Amino acid sequence: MNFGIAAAQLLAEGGSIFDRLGITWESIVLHLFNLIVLTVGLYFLLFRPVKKMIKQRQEKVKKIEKENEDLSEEVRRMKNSSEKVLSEAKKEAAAIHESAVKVANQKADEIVSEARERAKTLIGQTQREMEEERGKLRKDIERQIADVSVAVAERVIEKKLTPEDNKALIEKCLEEWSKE
Amino acid sequence: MRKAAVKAKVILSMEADKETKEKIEAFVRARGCGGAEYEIDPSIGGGVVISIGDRVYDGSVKGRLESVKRSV
Repeated sequence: MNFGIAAAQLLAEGGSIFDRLGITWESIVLHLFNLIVLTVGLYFLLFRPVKKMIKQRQEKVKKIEKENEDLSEEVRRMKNSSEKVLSEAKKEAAAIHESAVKVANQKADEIVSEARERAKTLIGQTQREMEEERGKLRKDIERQIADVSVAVAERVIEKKLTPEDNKALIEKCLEEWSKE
Repeated sequence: MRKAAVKAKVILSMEADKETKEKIEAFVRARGCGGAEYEIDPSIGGGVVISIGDRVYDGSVKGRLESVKRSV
């Protein structure tokens, strides 16, 4: 509003507006020169370094993104590989477990069979030993019975043998020996 | 020169009469002995045991019972 009033006053006073504002062509050239210098200075001192820095940043970001992608790919590959390895390990573990169970069952069967065989042998051996022991005992008892019987017979015959019996016994013996 | 005959050893459980002794003498003489030496041993239980050299004729009660015991 004030500017409009001032401009109107200047027009009313007459003369060129540039004259009235104190603007000369030298000042315009000077200002243009200043503007060019400032622009060139800003271009070299600020715009180029900033542009370079932004470019570097962009390259860095791209590089990081690339590395990130590579890493993601590596992780994916490793994950796939680990899953495959895990799957194979599970299969292998199952096979080993199955084999171990089979071997253990086979071994258990062998042990049981061997134990049965051993028990059978032991029972047979024990029965034989018992039979032998029983036979020995029987013989021993028979011997003891014979000993006792002979001892009793000796006592009885000693007591009851008369001189006549003794004489008859001696004569019978002599007769038997003479026939030999 | 004739060699002197060996005497037989005769074991009895009790003293025997003359007749029995004569039979024993005849028995041992028939086997080449010059006579018999008598010994009384009641532990034989009865009967007679005659030893002529290595040969032993055991007709004692004890010997017969031992024989029976061995056969059992």
